[in-house]
Amino acid sequence: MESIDNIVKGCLNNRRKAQKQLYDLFAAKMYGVCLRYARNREDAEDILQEGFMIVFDKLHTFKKKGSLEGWIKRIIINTAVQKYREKISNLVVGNMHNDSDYPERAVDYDHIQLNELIEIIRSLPVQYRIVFNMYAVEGYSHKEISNILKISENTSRSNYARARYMLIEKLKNENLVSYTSKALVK
Amino acid sequence: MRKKDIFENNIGEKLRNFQSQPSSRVWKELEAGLDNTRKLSRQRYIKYAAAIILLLATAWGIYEALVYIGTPHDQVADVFSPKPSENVEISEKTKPDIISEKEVPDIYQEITVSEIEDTDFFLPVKQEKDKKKIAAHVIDSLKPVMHEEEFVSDIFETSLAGYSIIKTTDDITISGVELKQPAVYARSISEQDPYFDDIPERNRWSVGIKIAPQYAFRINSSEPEVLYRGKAIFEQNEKHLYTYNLGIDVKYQLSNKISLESGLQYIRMGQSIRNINIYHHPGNESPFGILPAHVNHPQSVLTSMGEIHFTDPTLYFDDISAHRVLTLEEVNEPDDVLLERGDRLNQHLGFLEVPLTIRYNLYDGLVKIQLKGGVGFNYLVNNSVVLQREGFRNSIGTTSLIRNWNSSITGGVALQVPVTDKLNFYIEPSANLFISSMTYGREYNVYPYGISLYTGLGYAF
Repeated sequence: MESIDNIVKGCLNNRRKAQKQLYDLFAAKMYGVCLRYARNREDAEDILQEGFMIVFDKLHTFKKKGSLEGWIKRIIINTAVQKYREKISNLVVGNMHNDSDYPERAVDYDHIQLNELIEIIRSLPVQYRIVFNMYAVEGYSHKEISNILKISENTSRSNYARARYMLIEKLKNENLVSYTSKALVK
Repeated sequence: MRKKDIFENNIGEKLRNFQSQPSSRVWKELEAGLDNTRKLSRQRYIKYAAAIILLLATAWGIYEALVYIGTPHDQVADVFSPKPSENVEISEKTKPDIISEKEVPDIYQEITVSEIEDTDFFLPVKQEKDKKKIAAHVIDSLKPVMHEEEFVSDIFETSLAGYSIIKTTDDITISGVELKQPAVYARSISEQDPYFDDIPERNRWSVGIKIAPQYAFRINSSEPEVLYRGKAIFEQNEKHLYTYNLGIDVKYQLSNKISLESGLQYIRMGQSIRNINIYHHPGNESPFGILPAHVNHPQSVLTSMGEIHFTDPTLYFDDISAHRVLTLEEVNEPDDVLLERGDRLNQHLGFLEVPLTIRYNLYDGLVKIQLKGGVGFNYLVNNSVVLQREGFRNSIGTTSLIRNWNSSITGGVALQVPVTDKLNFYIEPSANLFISSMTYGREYNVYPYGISLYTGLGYAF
């Protein structure tokens, strides 16, 4: 197995073998990211493909300060967001909700099957899905999300709260989670 | 990094580590896209080179025009515009003793040219027939003093600027005076000369009308890394369209070789969208007719030239090839009244264009042949999506994210055939290409182009 440095060097010289090695190294992880953001598998594959095109094109700009995986992941997420951003900004959120409108319950998450969870996330409306992924999984703040998606912070909060509520309701309806307590957790 | 709650820690952590293997299709298409990038890079360089050549040609044309404008035309030396390198000497004006004053009162000026073949005269003669008239006059003037066999062997060129030019190509003797060849003579022709009465003033201006059928399509030069599959889908499902252009033009002739043209014309660009099935859904039809539902029609169609939004709420669409139909909210299932299958959805974009064109005369005979090239400034005045069915054409929507202002380059060949002294008929095979992307705020760069065959009439004055 060649070192990452050699693979990157090969990619910079436009060598197809090195490009394939880099792709093989990260494809599964990045496809996992794409599946969370995309509406279906076909869209996810589109995002993965477009993302890797950008990776190969912009690889010369990669500064070795952070990890290559993190850099590629950011590109993949940006590609996914770009794909759906127009749809998000065009949609009007009817009611503004705060987190507190959808109180968090104590839920047993341990037995949730990952594939089923992904399917449920993909069934969320696009604006909820994107905001949910960016906030709950990637760890962006609402301010950062509002800047990236060109929506207000309140819309981002509201979308996230609704996404989380819908997610739990769907998990509950599918009998994939159980409440450990009736108590509200603030 | 902000603090995460229990939900994020549990669900988020699970999702962060989620992996799945994509299908082999992804790498295959990625590889094809990488190959395509190389091809596109080459195409980009060719495009830049073509643009530079066109700019240089335009700059050269303007330079030539400016040089001509700045050149006085009231002296023989200026009429000839000899270049220093050509080693042309113009002698002092002298009365030639080769022709008696009585018979030919004009003054001849001899020019000694070391290499006649290299001489590049720049003569402001507009009409070929004018040259012939003056040439005939020169011959008539000389005939009485010469024998036929001694006659000047070649009428080389004539000028309307008060001089006629003759060239000898053999040694000749006229009235006992030996003329060695090769030599060039200029002879002034006075305005009282009877032959000038019939010579019309030179017409520099002309106005015209023109119309052209056009093959219209677009170049989708989106970088494959931006939207490779999207591009492929558009290429498979979008086709050219036959449209038309029409307009008026004004031309000004700067010199024998160069003229400038401007005007105003309507050009219609567009493309045909294929593989969209169209259904009639009367559920939204009001008893008072179709409601203006452009704000709440739930569907739109993605195309390389922007996103189509619909104004007719009774129509629904289904993409039978890809996923170009976007549904923004819940749609009632159509009643499956299929109106059209396939290829009857046309995007039309009409622009008012102000062209600025330079024409260069390649051939100036009975028929004139010109090369033309220039730029155009276009303003969007018509944006419609047309559904064709059962012999009807219905405008059912518009395309969003189209720039109001664009610029284009144009080039072609023009054939000018005289109908009368003042009226000319034109045939002009031309091509134009938008040089700024027609859409904005999108990942795609789309450059419409048209190949057209103009026909028109021009009136000179």
